[in-house]
Amino acid sequence: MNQPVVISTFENVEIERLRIAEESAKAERDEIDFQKQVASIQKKLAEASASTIVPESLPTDYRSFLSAKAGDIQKSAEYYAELKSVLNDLLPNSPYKARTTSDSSNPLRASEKLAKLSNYPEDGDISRTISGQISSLSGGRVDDQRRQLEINRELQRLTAERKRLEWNLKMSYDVSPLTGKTSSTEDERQFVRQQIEDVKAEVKRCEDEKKSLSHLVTTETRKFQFQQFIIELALQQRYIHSLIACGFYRSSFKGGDLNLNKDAYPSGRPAQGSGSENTPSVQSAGGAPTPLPFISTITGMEAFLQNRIRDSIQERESIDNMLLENQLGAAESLLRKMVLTAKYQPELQTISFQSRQTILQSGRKLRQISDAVNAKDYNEILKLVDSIEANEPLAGMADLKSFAKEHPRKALHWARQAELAMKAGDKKTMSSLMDIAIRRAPLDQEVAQKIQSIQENAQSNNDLLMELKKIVSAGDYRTSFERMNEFVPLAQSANTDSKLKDDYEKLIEREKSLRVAIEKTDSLESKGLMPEAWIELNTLPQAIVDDVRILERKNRISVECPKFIKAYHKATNHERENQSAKALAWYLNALVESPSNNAIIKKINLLGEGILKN
Amino acid sequence: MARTKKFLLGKNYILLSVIGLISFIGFFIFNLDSSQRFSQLPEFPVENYLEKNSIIGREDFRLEGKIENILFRSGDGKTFLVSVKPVNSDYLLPVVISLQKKSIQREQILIMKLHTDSSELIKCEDYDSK
Repeated sequence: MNQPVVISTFENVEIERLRIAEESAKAERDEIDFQKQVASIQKKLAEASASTIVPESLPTDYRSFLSAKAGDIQKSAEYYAELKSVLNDLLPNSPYKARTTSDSSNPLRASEKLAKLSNYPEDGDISRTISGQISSLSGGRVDDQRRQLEINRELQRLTAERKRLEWNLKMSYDVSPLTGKTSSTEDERQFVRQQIEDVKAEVKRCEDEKKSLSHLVTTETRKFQFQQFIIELALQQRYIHSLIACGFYRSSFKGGDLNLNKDAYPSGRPAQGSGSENTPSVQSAGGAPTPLPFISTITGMEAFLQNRIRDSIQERESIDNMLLENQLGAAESLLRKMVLTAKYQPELQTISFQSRQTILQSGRKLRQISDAVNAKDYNEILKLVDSIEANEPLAGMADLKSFAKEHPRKALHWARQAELAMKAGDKKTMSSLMDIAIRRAPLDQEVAQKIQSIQENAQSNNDLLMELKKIVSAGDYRTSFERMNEFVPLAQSANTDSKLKDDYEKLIEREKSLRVAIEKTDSLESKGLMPEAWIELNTLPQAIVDDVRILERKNRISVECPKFIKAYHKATNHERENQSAKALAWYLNALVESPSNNAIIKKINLLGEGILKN
Repeated sequence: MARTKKFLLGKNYILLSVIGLISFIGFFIFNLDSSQRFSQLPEFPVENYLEKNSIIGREDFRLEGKIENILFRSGDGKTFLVSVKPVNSDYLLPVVISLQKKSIQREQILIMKLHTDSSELIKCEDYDSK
């Protein structure tokens, strides 16, 4: 009964509104941090697996590599075994050659094997092209200058032939003065015309051939073309093909590297005693012979290609080890690198179907996590992380877990703040906080329920306002107080008219004073000070003296001190009627019943002084 | 000597007897005055005064009661407001007493001649100690 009365005030509500405004600002700052966090996680996932990139932007080669059929992979393995064999036949220092085997090379056998490679679809006519280049390189073509002279002579002959035929045709129309008839028939003329057309066609063919010989295709040019081809193969990441071409190049030219002739360097001087084929020199107009530069293109290219092949072998070994250790993320990352840098290497192309599927599945899970992060489906993130962790401990999973656990909590926090904002009557902040909560965890059930509840409550606020108006107009201070948590924010709202607010505040104050009086009365009653308690109850404002709680206490106390009550009431009545003497008389008698009653003593003093003064 | 002594002793007896007689007569006369000075006045209607709103009237009353408390004293020290408990009532009454030759004090029993003024204030015009 004597419990302390905790009374929330209008000031408290205002403080709460300020706090909520701060929360709203905090939520907006937190939203920016959240976006950064999501971007960071997505970046991490993208780094962990290329498959997390949306499928449209995933490189086609990589996709098709991962999704290759088991049979195709088997065929590729056979093709690449043949390819390696060709290389081993050509190069004594082939990266695929065991150290114990003979170091001798066999270009002829290699050439035969190369021809067979064309049958494999994986080859893509590369071997055929290499063979063509080799035959061209090994002198299959005559000197173009000689051919050009032949064509010129042929053209002169054809021109003369054409002129002759045209003359004959022209003359066939002349009428003979002797016979009065033309010398030829129409059929004969037609035949001549046909001959002229044939000559024209032959001239055109010769001119076309001459055009094709407009540049001089020298030995050096053919070497350049072949080297260009080797570089093209290397650029296509066909390192083995390129190395095979290097092998054939070396077999075709002793020394292997590019030798330039004097035409390429006309200002150079011939070196003394340099009659060898590989180190040419030119004679300048008048000075010491200068050796021509020696350009080592093939050797450098070979070193590069061997390194690339060795790197690929190492990377493949690493991938196999990673797969063995279930380090799928790392294996996937290395595999992606290989697809980018060693696309046609056997080390990459012979990775088994099972391994590819394992990596693909791992990537898919990471992509699903990425999708779940985008969709803010925290439960799904946790589920996927758990399933990944069950197979493979991936770095960054702890981050994801804490991310997935933290944000539903935060969303719920903002939803609760939105609810408080609604109660404080701050609809704008409520709406803003609700938006943030929904954006933060759009699929969270608890948050959704909370938001729904807030929305329903906001809807019912209008009904509550009507109820408040009724209660205020009825002067129901008790209900006003008891439902203060509902009504105070509403009364505080900017939309509520000030009169309603004032009236409501008065009712609250009335109930508060009543409760304080009840507290005091109960305390006096428990100490046995019934007259004091009675006076307390009878000095309440008129508006609350008839409250049932007051009446109940009055009834209880009136039994305890009837004489005092009678005297007190007589005194107060006389006092009210300005009968000071009689009022004093009754106060004196009341004091007999309650000897130390300060209120009565005060009255006696007041009245007594007044009486004596008059 | 013995005669003289007897004579003196007889004279003393007479003197003492006279003094005693005079004292007795004086005391009797005094008592007769204090009890009978206000005896013709009607008894103050305590309950009627307190309980009823009707005006008692302007006549004088007699009230015998004990001074329970001296509540106030006027600036000149001649008027007192006291609470009096009538001998035949349980109530207390406030009475304004104008001091005469005889002083008053708490617990003193007085026989008072009273009247009420227009504001029904009880005023004591004369009193005797009992």
